[in-house]
Amino acid sequence: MKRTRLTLLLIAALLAISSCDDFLDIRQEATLPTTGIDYTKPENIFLSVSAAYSKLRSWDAHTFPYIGAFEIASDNADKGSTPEDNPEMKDIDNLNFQPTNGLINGLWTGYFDIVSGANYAIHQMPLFVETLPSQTDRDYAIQCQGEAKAIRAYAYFNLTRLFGRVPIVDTVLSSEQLASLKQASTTELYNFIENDLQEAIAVLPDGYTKEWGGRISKYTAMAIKAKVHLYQAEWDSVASLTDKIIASGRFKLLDNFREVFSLDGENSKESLFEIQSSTLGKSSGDAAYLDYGYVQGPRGNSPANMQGWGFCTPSQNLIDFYADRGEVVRPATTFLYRGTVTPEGDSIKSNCTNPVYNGKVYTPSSQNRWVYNGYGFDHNIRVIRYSDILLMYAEALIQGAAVPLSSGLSADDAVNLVRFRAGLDNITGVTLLDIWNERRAELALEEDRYFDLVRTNQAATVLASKGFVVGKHEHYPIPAAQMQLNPNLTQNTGY
Amino acid sequence: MERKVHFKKFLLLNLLLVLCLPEAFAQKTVSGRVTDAETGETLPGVNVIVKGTTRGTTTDVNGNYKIELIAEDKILSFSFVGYEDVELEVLNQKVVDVALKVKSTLMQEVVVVGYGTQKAKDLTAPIVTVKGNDLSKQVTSNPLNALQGKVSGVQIINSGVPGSGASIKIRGVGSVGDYANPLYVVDGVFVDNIDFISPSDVEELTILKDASAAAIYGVRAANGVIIITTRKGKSGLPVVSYDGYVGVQMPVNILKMASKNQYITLLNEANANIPGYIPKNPSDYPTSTDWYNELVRTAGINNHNIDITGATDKTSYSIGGNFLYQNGIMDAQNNYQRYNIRGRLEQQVNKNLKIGINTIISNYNKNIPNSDAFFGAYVNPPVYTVYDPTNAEAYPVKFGAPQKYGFGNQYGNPVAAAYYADNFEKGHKEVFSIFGEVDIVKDILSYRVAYNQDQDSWNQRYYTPQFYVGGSQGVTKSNLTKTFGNSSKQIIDNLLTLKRTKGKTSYTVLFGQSTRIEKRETLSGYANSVPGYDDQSKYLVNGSFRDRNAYDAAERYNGLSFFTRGTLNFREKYLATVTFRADASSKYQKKWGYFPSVGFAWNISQEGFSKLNAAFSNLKLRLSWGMLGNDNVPSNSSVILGQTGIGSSGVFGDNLVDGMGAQTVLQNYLRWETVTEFDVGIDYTLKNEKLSGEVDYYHRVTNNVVFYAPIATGGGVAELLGNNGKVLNTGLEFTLNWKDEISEDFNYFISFNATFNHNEVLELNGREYIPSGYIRGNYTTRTAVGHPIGSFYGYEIDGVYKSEGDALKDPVSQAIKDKGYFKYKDQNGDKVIDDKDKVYLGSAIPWLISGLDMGINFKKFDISLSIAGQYGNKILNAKRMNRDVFSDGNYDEDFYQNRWTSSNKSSEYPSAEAYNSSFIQQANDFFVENGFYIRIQNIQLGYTTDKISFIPKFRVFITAQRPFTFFTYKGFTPEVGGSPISSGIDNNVYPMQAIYTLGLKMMF
Repeated sequence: MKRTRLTLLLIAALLAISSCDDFLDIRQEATLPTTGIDYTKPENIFLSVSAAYSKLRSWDAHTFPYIGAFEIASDNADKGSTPEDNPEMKDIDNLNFQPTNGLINGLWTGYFDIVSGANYAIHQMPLFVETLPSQTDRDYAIQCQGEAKAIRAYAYFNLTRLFGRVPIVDTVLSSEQLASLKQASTTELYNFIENDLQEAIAVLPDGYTKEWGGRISKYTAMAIKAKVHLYQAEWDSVASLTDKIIASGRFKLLDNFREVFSLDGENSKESLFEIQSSTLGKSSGDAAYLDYGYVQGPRGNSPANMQGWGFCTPSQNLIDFYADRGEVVRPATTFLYRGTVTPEGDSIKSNCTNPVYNGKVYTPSSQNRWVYNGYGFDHNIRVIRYSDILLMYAEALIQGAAVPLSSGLSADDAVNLVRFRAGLDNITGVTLLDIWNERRAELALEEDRYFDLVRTNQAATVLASKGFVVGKHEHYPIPAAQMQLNPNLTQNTGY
Repeated sequence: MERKVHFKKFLLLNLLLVLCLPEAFAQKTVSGRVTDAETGETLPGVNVIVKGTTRGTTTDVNGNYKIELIAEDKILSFSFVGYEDVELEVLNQKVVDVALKVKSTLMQEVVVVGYGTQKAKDLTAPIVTVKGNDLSKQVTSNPLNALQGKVSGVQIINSGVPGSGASIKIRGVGSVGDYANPLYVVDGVFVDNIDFISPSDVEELTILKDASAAAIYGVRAANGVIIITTRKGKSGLPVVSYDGYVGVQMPVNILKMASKNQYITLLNEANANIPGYIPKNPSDYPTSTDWYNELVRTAGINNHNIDITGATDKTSYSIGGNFLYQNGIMDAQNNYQRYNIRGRLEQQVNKNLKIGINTIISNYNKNIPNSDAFFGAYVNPPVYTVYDPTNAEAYPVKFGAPQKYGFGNQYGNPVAAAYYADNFEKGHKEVFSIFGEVDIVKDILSYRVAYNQDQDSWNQRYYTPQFYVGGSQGVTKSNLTKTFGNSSKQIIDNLLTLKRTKGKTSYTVLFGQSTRIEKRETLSGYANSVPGYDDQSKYLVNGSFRDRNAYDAAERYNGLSFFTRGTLNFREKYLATVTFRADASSKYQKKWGYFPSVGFAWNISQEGFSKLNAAFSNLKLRLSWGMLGNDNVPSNSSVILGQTGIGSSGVFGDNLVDGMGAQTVLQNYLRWETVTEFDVGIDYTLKNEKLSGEVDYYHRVTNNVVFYAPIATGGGVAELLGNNGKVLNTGLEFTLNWKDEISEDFNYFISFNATFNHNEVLELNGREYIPSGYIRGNYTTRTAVGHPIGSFYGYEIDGVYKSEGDALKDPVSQAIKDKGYFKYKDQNGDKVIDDKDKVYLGSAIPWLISGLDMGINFKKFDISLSIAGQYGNKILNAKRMNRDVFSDGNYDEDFYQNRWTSSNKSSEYPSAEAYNSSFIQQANDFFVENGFYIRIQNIQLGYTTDKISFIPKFRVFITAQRPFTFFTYKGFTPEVGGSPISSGIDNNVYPMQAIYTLGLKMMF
């Protein structure tokens, strides 16, 4: 009797074991595997691309460390805020770049996150192309892939400018593979970037309807590519691309310089590439905004929706620069002095911490409705504007680009268009130095200056008082934290 | 005439004689046999004595005795060493047989082991039992807190927040990750934490320390098992008891922060060399505010417990109720209130079937304080007033704002932060079990089926009213988040047990199968502009219909196990236990794991070595080896999951477009985390029954340790869950107990335990090391082969530069060299201070944990003292490492007193200027501090009486719980937990409390 019982038990146990796979094979709740997307539905095409765009909305890549590394390090801006605030930003201001600086590490991780988002979208598109029934939809998928490639190229462009040598990641890898990547050389990186942009330009549309403000078009990709060639001094390519952009007739300078930076001027005809930031018309809850405007807002101002952290304050050097040029229009928008009242009616109290703040991120109080106070949450980052294109065009021509052009503009014409809008007289026989100074005047506090000085070899003299060391400060150090996670990384010279 | 009188006298005498005759002639012989009540064996050498006389005899080799009794002899007394004395009234019997019961010493006690009980003497593994009475002496809301310092090998880390439990580690950090908690079994139900149980409900708490003991529980028992049995009825008269206490909690060991003048001095020193800095003057600021003082208060606590237990021969029952109210020490609305009802019933239905049901219902509500307020008290400059009537923009209450004095938006008035927090949670827990036991063959084969369910539900209401203080401390629209959650765990166990006894040898075999289903889900809603008029108006429906949001989340887990255990007791001398398990878990990709374990013990004192037996009444040698799987880890998905939500959705202009992104790094294939443990130990009790103890050596390797480790960038996520290596914990535990009686009503006991533990990483899969503990640009810990897990990694300090000249003369170059800055040690002699000069600075794992318990009982008074301590652990003072964001925040007073200045050239502390620099703010042995402590856990003085008329037992007592802790660490508490690869990093700002109570215990 006992034996039979035991045998029955064993059989029951064996049966139980074999039938329990379903019981044990459960997926995590509230999740969807990436393969769970229906690749036959065209409305799903844009999902991964939208996620890639959302990665641009990053504190590390496009807010606090961004204004530090691209602008505060230059002669245009000082750290801001109180003198003792944020020693890491103080180090950046003083060109005391340490590998253990958390802001520098943030830039690395922030941009690589954007790369990851773009990679995911790029690899999703072929899955759609395989299964979508209609040709129009398949073309759309290829076009969306182009957008993701442009995003990846942009992120790598900034990584290359910042660090010089970074690993190329273009697909899904295991964590062991990620930890054994080697850094690519600057040349390899620029080839990779140019390739991505080339493929993007081939498939992207000329433009989008109004509700797609900020979406990457063919001309956005061309504008980024022109900049990439600018940094490699490949003047023919710069001229050719900027020429096409100018000749398209889609872009023009807004008449009013102040309007360029206002909420109404977002995604305007002057804009080629803008990182979007929006409170979605809400005052609290989830929204899609960057603190880019807030961290530069007037410190110690009131009321609460008109104040910020006060970083990236215009330097005396910049104020003097405009004064020497006799400029009026651009300083009026670029500088926000304490103890004044803006044309829109907001007062910047005289007891604010710093004498002057970045006026280009100023948002009138009527537009600051966010419940936790502070301003500028709806302010987009203007990455590339039409005036930048005109100045690049002029520089390429002066540097001797010899390609057929169809825009019909000379170098002087291009520069003078920009100068006219700024209320300045025309120039004839524009020189490189004129163009470089015009760049400074037009694009001040727009995160262009530091690397512009590096590429034009002006940094050694202009930033001498800050202690710029040739052969070292052209790039930031590879973050120590990253070197601990990937032992194959090697440090940049001088660090 | 004379003849008549003589005759009467004679008759009387005769009558008397006749009357006396039976007694005079009732000198009888009484004989009988004395046996052991349990085994039936005859007992030679038993003393048989007539009570009140010195006349007696002993039983012969066959257990027989014969004794002559005279008329006055009424009672025979039987006594024998190791057995309970028996007294019997002898009336007319001629034969009196007696069965003697073995005296209940520790070794005879029955201990709860997994799925059953065993006699303590039959155990082959280290198992410790703590009685409920010892636990309920400690004034805490949670039985775990009461264990601190009482059991060797067990480390308890407490937090100060009311209603929050402790974290517990048995034998070092066995598993890695937060998941190193032991398994809790409450009356057969597996629960995740025992916060809901009051110490007064506990009858017995058993800790199974090693793998072979815990083997029977298998899954999740890899880090030890704590078995709690709640009070059960005992046969005899029903007992009604009440115990309770009222008391006060006082914050202790509050870190002293700098005062206004000290702070201003430090600020001016720190920034003296920064261009553009204007030195501050103390008269610029209104007052010196001690923020901690403003934020804490003395809080009351009271606890009441009623129990009714009883049993008859067929039924046993136990019913209890408990009420606890604990106010919080933060001076704002915070408190914890809990009431439990407990009921347990077991019934012997017929001679083969027994059934039982056990329920614990627990309800709680708590007002949760805003812990940011204590953080604010730590960082806020001590220079402005709590209230400021001139702060025009503040509403509804005119709090003072730091922004008025130029401080940035990272500071907010701490008292305001505490005041405006409205976070209320209430919950309900039911632990329910029902079982049936069938004796298939009486005393030989039995079957038990049990169903256990642990059901939790909770509601949380988090409301922020419309308010403003200054800077960004304020909200223009009130908002409300409501969360509803529930979780359930269901377990079905089937057990078949076979027991056989042959003479002095017995064995049991157990076959078992267990199925576990667990699920947890939450649903939250959010709305703004919700009126805060009263509690009844705080509902989402009353808020704005714009911006309403809803979220949900869930987790699910299934497990299946088959197991068998055999125990063998050969002649009471040689004991063996063998267990084998097959476990499957839905959390791992490799589903099934197989885990054997064996244990042996040798009861040396039963061998009859006379020299040994003269010294020891009990001596046992134990050996055990076991393997267990741990699945108390986060679940891992084998496939990459999509990420949705606003964070994955792009915005174009003002239009949000739904998106779905994903990581671009592959998930790891997760295998079972297993623990393999070897233990050898000796249990002993001296012959005089005064000294007893245990010594154990253990060696425990955790394989395929599961935790989140940071990975190189490019994958879109910063860390991945994986099987990351092998960790060793090995050590020595010993316990010494001494108890003695000085006189009949004066006795005392002393109990000491200590554990020496060594922790080391043996292997790391594919990586040379894993960095963790990221604080602004630096990893502060490093887990590497040959070092304890999560060791601190940074610079060793070789003094402080005395002057600029001193610094310039030093050939070693480092990023900043100036007076008042640290001189880091150039470990590799290359004259450059860089990453290569970082060394291991110690770990958060103590190498010695120890405790001492003492008590004296004198007449009706008793006094007891409990001390606990820990040595060898380090703590990273992350609170001091915050001077990037809070560069003008407050300093602790210790820094002010000891800092480097030109008149006090410290060689240990940096100058105020250096302290603010990112060069100093890195992992180094200034921030990595010694974390040892000695604490008086508990002092209790009590008085017991049974003289009160209707209360058979009445005890009144006063207790001081954790009145005093000695530690040198510059923080609030030396108890700092964390995930073991980044453990001991202290951001804790919640002060600890000492609790003083007056209590009462009555039994009817």
